[in-house]
Amino acid sequence: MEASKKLTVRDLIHIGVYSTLYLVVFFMCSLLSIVPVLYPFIPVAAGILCGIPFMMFMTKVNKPGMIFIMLIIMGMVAFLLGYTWIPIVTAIVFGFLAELILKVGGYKKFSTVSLAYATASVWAVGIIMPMWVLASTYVEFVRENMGDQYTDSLLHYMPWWMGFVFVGLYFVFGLVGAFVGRKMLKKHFERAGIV
Amino acid sequence: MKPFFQLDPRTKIILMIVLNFLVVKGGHIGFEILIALIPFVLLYDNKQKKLAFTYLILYVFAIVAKQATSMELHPGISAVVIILVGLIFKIFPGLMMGAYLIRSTKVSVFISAMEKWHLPRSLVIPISVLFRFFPTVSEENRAIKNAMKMRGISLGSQKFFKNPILFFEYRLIPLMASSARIGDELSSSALVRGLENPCKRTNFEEASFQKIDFVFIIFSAIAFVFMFFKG
Repeated sequence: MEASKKLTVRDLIHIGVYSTLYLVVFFMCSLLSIVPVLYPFIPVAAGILCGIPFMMFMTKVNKPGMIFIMLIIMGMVAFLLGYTWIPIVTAIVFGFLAELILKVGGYKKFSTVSLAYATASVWAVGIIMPMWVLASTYVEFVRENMGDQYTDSLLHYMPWWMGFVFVGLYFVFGLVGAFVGRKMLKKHFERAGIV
Repeated sequence: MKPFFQLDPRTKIILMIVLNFLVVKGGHIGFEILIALIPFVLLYDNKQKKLAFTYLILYVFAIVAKQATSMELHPGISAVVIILVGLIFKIFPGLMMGAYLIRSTKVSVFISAMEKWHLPRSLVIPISVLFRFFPTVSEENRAIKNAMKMRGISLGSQKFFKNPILFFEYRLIPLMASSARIGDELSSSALVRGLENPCKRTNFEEASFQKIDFVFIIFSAIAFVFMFFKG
């Protein structure tokens, strides 16, 4: 495994596989957004549940660039689904930070891996950030399509400082997710010899 | 019979981006319906008839419901209806386009198209795996859902309320396990077929723009410009 530090084709395929799993789990969680009051629970659910595919991903690949590529793909998918260009930017920023953490701390240690996952999962803030960055057009768009009541309650539950709360939530529950993911790996996969 | 619209993957991607822009921007209702019909026609053409008609019926339902909500209704009900209608109007066309893009594109053609856009290999390979793998994961997910239903474990069932966290474990872990195995097999098969070869790829089916692609691209360009100048 230590033979090369560059990503091989096998690694790239694994990146694709686990990006898919991450996305599937993530979009299951983001279905919560149908009810505005549940909006703050998306990071909780996504952070915890996405930890499982991510921790598995970390056992399969451990080379520089892995998280960066994964997050760029996330950003692109979010862009294609119509969440504006902002997710791409956040994905690049947090992907880079997560890579930096792994680079400094090492790819095998649980502490750095969980920190990196927590950092990386903050990219998803980009999906809701248009609400504040492109505030006027976005609110107009939501009001037109989701109705006044949804918009008003959305604005009521999501003032601008919620952006920072969301960053915090994603980070904290990313850490929780890393623990859950490791527990799940121990409980189910190591014994079965999949990891 | 082959589908009538043999689009280049690049055209599909451009179309998807433009479609999302137009749908989000909104405009005259007739124009929106025209835009929303594009994924329907493409899905129908690609033999995804069941999905195409489900989409069509939901969309028609949404149009009717939108008219109905302008009348007097209980505020609580109308709020729910408006949200669902908004979801169908704004998200479904893009999603359907995505479903079409994934199902109608062969991975090898997709790779060749991405190489023509000069994307780096380290991005092309994961993206094409994503393409290939997404339908597989959703199929697995459906199978696991059914299997768990047989054991009385489904969303909202008695066992779900007894321990919701365990529910997620029951649903996610098998998905991860089977996906991990499929992923390993996928990478083995890709290696056997020489994906690791550093030489320039040759393709049996080269992605290339045809007349029909230009029709779609010109149409989307016109629609885009039209949308912007109308504000």
